[in-house]
Amino acid sequence: MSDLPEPEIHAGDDVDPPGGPWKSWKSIYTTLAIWGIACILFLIWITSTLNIDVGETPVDLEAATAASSTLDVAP
Amino acid sequence: MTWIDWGVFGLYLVGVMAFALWQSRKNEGVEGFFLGNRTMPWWAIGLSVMATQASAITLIGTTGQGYTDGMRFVQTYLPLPFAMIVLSVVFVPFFYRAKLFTAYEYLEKRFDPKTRTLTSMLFLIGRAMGTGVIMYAPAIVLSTILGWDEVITISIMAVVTIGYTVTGGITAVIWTDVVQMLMMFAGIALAIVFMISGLPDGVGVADAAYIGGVQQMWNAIDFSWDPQSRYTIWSGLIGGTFLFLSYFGADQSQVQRYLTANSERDSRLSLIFNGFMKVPMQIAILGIGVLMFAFYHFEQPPIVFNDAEVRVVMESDRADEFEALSVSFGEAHAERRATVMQILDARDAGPVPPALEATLAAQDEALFGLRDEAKAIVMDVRGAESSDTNYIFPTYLTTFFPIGLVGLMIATIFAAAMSSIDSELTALSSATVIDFYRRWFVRDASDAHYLTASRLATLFWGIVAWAFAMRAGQGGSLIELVNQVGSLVYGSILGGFLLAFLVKRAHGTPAFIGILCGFGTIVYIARYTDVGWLWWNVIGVVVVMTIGTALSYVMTPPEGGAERAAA
Repeated sequence: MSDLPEPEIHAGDDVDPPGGPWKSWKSIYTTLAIWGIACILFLIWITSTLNIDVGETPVDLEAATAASSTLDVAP
Repeated sequence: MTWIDWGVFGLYLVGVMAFALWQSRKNEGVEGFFLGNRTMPWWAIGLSVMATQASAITLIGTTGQGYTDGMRFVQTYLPLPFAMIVLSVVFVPFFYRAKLFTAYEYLEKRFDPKTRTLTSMLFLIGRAMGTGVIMYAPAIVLSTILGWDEVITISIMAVVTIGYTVTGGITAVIWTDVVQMLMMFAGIALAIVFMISGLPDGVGVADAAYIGGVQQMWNAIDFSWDPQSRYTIWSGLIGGTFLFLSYFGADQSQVQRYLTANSERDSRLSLIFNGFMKVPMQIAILGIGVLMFAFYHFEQPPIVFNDAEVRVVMESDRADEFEALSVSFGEAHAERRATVMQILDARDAGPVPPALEATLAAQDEALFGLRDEAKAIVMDVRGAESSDTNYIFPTYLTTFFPIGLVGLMIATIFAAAMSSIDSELTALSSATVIDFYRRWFVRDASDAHYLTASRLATLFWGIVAWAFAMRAGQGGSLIELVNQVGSLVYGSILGGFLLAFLVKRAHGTPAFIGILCGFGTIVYIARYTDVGWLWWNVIGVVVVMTIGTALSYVMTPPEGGAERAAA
């Protein structure tokens, strides 16, 4: 990487954030990357689960609308 | 809107001004005005970063897009968490440790003054007109919904935002962004809660999700490699990565934010915060659109949501034809509603007969078709395409939301717009004063002088954006051109920064030529090809990096610049 003159480092600069499981920047970045992957997996799950394949059979809309109004629905 | 709604809205406008002025009372000098004396906490910066990106069009346009097109736009945001990691590791240390006012200052330290000036100028060109669009686009929607003259809506937005930005600088901007982002979170949650509670008795979230699923609205991920497909996971991950690296790493409106942090650690944390929050927020916003789609299976939607467009058509010679379409639309909706109720009864008893599902899907398509016919009449009468997508959510709010909450939601839409406008104004002002005025024209004036110049520059850009917004309605193609101009510059600017960070041999003139070539390439692609806009950043970066690197090895570094170019 190219270098620039380093100004004085203030207290807190480049210090790992405190607390809990996030004891290093590496752990934060890993958590965020896992979060990003989890979001993608969640959306894949939504896409594959919530969409309903109604098939490609062409539907005569008028006939189907008339028929559906008298469709026998199982109790 | 009732007087209660107006009261809530008025309270917001007064409150945000007062809050901003109170927060900015300790700011002194240019560093205070542009960087908040580098004392801002990470969580406030993180919320401001989110608010800056989420304009009113995010709230009203993305919900409308969810209604018409499902969830697939979310793919554009998928790389954001990973981009935040790259920014925290690579960009933040360079920017923060150099104690900069603007992102482009870094390029003078690394390369030379002309490269800094070029990139800052590209930023000003891209952002200046874009700010006018951010002001105009939601204002025109709100004007139609509220029945206001668009001049009044634009002016309220402009006057309040310019007022607290000129007076309070970045501190006022960030703290009002915090309030405005919290309002957006609340608004999104309220919209979801009330939409679900507005469903008929016995109809729940699962039923609404099911209705959306019949029409494939939960199309969040598309693995297609078809280049004609507008949003896929591949264009999202690849194109989106470069888009977010350039937007958060090379656009002054975002870089300025994390330069206000009180430590490098807080600067990084603000971006990490954004990385965690953004994707879920976009899922929620698009989900509102899909919920609206399901909701409007039970309540009849307008055939065209933009009342202004409907009024124009009803005064034309195609009024009878449009009226006939509206009647057909109403009848089709009634039939579809009956089918939906049958399906929901069937779901309670067991599996839904496929014939019923196919009927519903076909009826949805039929209503989409009638809407397309109506919008074609609008286009024929107006001479411009119907733009009713942005009116879907505001129409729902003003029709179905309870008294008092309508005012809060309208205030939230204003808040979303103002939180983006204020960020753009401070960014434009800082680039103007630091990269041009102080750098080239008045070099050794007092801090008080530059502070006055900063306020005047903010006022200037606010007036420019206001003037552009007032005239934007007169040229639909002008808005399209402006959006394209904004997209043209990002890739080249990002390429310049990546050249600076990653190629030790790179030096001034090759970088300058590379950036110009990158910009020229994108202009050519935008003008003469059908390459999608998500790929422009990628191409711009590749061109800049390739040409800049190659020329850096061919051309001799300037004297004194050898240190910067050496290993």
